[in-house]
Amino acid sequence: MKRRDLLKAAAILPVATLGMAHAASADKKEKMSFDEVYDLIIVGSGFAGLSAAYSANKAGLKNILIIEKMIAYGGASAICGGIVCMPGTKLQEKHGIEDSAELLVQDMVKVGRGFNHPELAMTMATQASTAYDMMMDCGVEFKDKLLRLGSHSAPRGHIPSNASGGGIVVPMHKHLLEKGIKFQNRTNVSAIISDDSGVSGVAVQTDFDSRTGKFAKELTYKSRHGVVIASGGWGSDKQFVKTTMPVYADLRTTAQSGATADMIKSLLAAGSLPVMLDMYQLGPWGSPDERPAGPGSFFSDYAFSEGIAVDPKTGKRFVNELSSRRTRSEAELVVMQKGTKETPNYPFTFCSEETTEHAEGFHAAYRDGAVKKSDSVAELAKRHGVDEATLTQTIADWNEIVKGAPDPFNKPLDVKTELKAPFYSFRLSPVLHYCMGGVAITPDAQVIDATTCEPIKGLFAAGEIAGGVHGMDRLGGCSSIDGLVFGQIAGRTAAKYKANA
Amino acid sequence: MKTSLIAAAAVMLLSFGANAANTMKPHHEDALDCRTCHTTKGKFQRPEAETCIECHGGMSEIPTDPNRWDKNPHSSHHYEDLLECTACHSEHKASRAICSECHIVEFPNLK
Repeated sequence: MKRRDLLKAAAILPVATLGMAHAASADKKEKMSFDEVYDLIIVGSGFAGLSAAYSANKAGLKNILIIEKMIAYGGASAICGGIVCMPGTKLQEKHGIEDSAELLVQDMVKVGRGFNHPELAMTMATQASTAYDMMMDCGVEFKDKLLRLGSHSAPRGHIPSNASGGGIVVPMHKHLLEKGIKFQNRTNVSAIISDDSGVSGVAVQTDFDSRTGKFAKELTYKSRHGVVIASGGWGSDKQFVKTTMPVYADLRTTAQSGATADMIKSLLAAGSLPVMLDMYQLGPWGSPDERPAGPGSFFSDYAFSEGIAVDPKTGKRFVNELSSRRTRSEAELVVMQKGTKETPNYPFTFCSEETTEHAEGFHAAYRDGAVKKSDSVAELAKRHGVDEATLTQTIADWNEIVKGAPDPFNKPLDVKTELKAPFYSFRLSPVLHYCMGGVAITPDAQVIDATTCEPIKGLFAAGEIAGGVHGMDRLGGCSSIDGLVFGQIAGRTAAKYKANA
Repeated sequence: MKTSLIAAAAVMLLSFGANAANTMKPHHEDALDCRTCHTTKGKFQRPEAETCIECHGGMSEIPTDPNRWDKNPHSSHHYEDLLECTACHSEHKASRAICSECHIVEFPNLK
């Protein structure tokens, strides 16, 4: 089917014709023919997309297609650190950690500054255990330890055995292949197609080259049970970031190059209600000395936890190193503002050798040069341009806190490690990390219509492309669980949806 | 000289059609022709990973040479063996390691 004919069929709402949507819908009655037909089409092959396929298959759907725009499957999920924060798992029980869904929601709301959609936050936290069960069923393995990330009231970060999101998406992908789920990469979704009964399919470009935008064919795929959008965020879409949040225009981003705004635009064109599109999370573990989300960022979670972070200008700590990502990033930006282009003032975090021995990412970050070793306070002070006497005092103060003195910043201390030479340090500079906003969804992952504030029939969304779960900022290790939980919910809701079946 | 070059080019164009400009890797040149890899009828399509694997074996059988940044893409913890060969390896143009999007890499022997 040619694109021209497609537009004539008018069941389609292409991005460029948002303003024409109403004119187009007048033509909707004309019957549309599709090139291929599936029970369920899922757009995106990360945590949310895989989870949707898993639950839809469990619910009885057979002919499921997962579409991936890029060559590599898994999107941001495959390349992230893979930490999943889940309360009340068997691993937490084994380590004697007391935790609950309610406690996680409290943490989420605090970090989200109350902007969270409460029902969505509660759904994520209370159903986290279903994600744990799903991952176990797919053969995912976690390390036998739990990590407390910033602003979490309990150590609840489960780390995949290979310390990568790949440790989750690869076993899930292989499990789904065994179940007969089809995966199709290099396929760009150019529009969401709807007819009188609701969303009925997608228009795609096959053999899509994300670097050039070239493709082989334009086709239409019907999806009997509506369409699940699990396409992730748009952090690498410079124009969209700049337009929604001008002051973040020049920040480097952790997003992979496939994280463009095409799907959010298609969702808006299909009439979805947007929420918080201008809210972005900054990662406080970015560094001028490595690419965003390099190995040093994983290491720095340990340095933040067991060591301290210091402002070179004052020689003192400047923030609770385990406060929320937003609090830390904003504090770092304030420190950086004291510098100039010629003499920058990058804050730095550092720890003792003992901490490096169990910190994922340390080996690679040290080898690549982002983490540097100093054999004495004098060397550390010189390296970062700090007054040596002040830094000596700051370290001594911290070591008193480790021994039990009150901490003016109130940082929780799970591991008490005295700071002593040699020190390992890492310069900090926040990076754009996560799209807080997205389309509004119901707790059962139905996308909400902007004109009616009711669900759009046959349109489901999960993961980073959906907004509201976390509010204006989020905890670490919680986008993974968001995608895993709401992906499963979207798959189940779609399986039940029968309008086009 | 100039004329003979043009003549040679014309002959190549005639014998290989539109793909005359396509070069092949030295170790492929002697043993393969276009249809060894482009097995589907009609217009040439990108070969499936299986086409490469038939001769070369899977990623686990082809370890990456030791390299400066200790990267081992054939045993990647992000993708394991789910990556298609053509994600990084090209026949008719320079190969490009996709890990270079995020990592500092150096593969002097990337084919």
